[in-house]
Amino acid sequence: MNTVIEVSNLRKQYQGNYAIKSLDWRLDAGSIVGLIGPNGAGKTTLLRALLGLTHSEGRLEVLGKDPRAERHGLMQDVAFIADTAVLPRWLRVDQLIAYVEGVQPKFNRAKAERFLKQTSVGAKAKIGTLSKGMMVQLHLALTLAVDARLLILDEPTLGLDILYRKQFFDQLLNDYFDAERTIVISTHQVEEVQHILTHFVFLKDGEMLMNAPMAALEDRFVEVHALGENAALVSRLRYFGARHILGGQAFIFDSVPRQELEQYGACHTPAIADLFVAAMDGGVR
Amino acid sequence: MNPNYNPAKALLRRDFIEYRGSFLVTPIVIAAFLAVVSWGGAVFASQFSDWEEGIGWFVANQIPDAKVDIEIRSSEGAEVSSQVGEWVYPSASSAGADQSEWDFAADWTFSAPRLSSGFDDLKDGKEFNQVLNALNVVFLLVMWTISVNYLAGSLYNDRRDRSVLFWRSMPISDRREVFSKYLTVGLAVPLVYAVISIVTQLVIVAAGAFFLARTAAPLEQVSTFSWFSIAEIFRNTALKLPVMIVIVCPLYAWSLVASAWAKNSPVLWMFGLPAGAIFAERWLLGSSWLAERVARCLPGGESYDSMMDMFQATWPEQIAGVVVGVGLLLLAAKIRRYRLEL
Repeated sequence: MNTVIEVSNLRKQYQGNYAIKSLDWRLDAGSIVGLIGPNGAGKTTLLRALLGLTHSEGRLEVLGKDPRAERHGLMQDVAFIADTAVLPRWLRVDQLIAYVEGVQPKFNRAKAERFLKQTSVGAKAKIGTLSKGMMVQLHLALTLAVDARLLILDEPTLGLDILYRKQFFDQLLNDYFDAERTIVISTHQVEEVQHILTHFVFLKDGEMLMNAPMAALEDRFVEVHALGENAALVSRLRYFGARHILGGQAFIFDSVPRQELEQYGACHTPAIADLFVAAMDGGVR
Repeated sequence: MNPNYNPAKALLRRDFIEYRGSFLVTPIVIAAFLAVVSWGGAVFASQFSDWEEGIGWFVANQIPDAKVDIEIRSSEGAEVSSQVGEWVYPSASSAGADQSEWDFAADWTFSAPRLSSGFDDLKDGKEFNQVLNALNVVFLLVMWTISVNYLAGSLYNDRRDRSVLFWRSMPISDRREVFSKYLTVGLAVPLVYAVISIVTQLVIVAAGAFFLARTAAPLEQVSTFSWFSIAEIFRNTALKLPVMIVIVCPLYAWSLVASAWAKNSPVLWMFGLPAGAIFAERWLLGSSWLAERVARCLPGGESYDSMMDMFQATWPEQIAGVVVGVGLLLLAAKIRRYRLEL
């Protein structure tokens, strides 16, 4: 498999504080990674370091290039959607398409126009007059029309309603993703991306708390719903995280065989959001 | 590769769309206004003496020894004759200058100018050329104003509205971006303004020629006037252009550094730092080396000759200025690299 991102001992300092502390990461093509972390965890900083948009120290290679030295070459194969409000508001849609066509050698105008036809974005509309949802549709159409190998999305659906969000992720899967492509998404809406992810990464205070394939969620983690007295019994075990549920507590265990836990209550695969909260609380105790 | 891939054109076009009002609409509106006024003067000179004094006086003085006889027949039927430069209002002859009133109904007519000597004397007729030069200065003043606005905002506005994140997601290097901005304001905009200025001046020369022809001046005199004026336009507007482009280079490049650097108010950096350095030099060293250099970078409304004299006297410094300018552009690109939102 081709390595798309290779990072070792990556560090980024802001006025003496580390926004990223010695991060190691390797990502292969054909993955969709969810970068999940609380505000200030370093998600945006990491994504910008990958794009060569911010200064960083350590080894950093994206598609075999160091983004700090070859950003413009790299951007022929990498597409980036920051968040909804960054398209230039004073341009018209057709002028924006002409611009991207002029500067991006891999842009396919027919493809972009085909995607836009499925939306209500008019070619002569001024971008400033579009709604947030239409702006994201336009940005996505431009991005999908570039034959990019890596797509980096930083909170791409911020401020969008649920219909647009669903449409956005469906389109990513149907019109872009294949075994050769890679998507890195940072988002707060963990539940909505869970079903499309192949990997997830938890970030906290500039450190990677967890980096695992989605399959690990099922293989490694078990959530037990312990009701009544069982809750007290389970709380004496070495669990990863816990939360209150109706009539008891739900406990998440890491690398504990399911059959050992089934005596305490119903066992499930935990939701990624619950695992994330447990991880943020400190993990194993 | 897509067939329309052409980054240089796309970047230039982008700037001309963003600054369409400054780069195209403003000079065209000014040109249209001047054309209307000058042609108004040439066509309606017999109705509105005001306009006639404008264009008529200058055109007639282009031919110094020509005597344009002007016959004014007022509505009262009184007849007044005068020579160019000594206008007499229609009613002035009878009622005296103090009580003169505008008489728009007066019929102003012109008889053919008489040349007492040959066409060689045309060289002394500088008045109309001064009108043309003044028009060019109008365009230059507007151009510098909009250039300051562009330079301040070009690497700053997109950081303020966050669209910088979109622009920088495109495969364009920092140097290419900064050099393209420089070429837009340092080359493309002066070219556009020069072309519009030249066309406007030609329209005004045509108005002057029409005015002369109306006075039934000999055809060769009309044509001499026209060629003499056209030659002056190309000398003073077109030939000045490359010199101007060279001498402003360091100042424009510095402005892009300020625009890329500023967290707020790039204009303050653009003007504040050089001004501070000039004051510091005067205060600490008592000299004005920097002030003189900065002043030389400011293309004034001076004539082509004086600009060329200055350029020839200081050409090694002008070359050094271009080198400094390129260095500053590289610095702006370096600063731009990691500057995102404010």
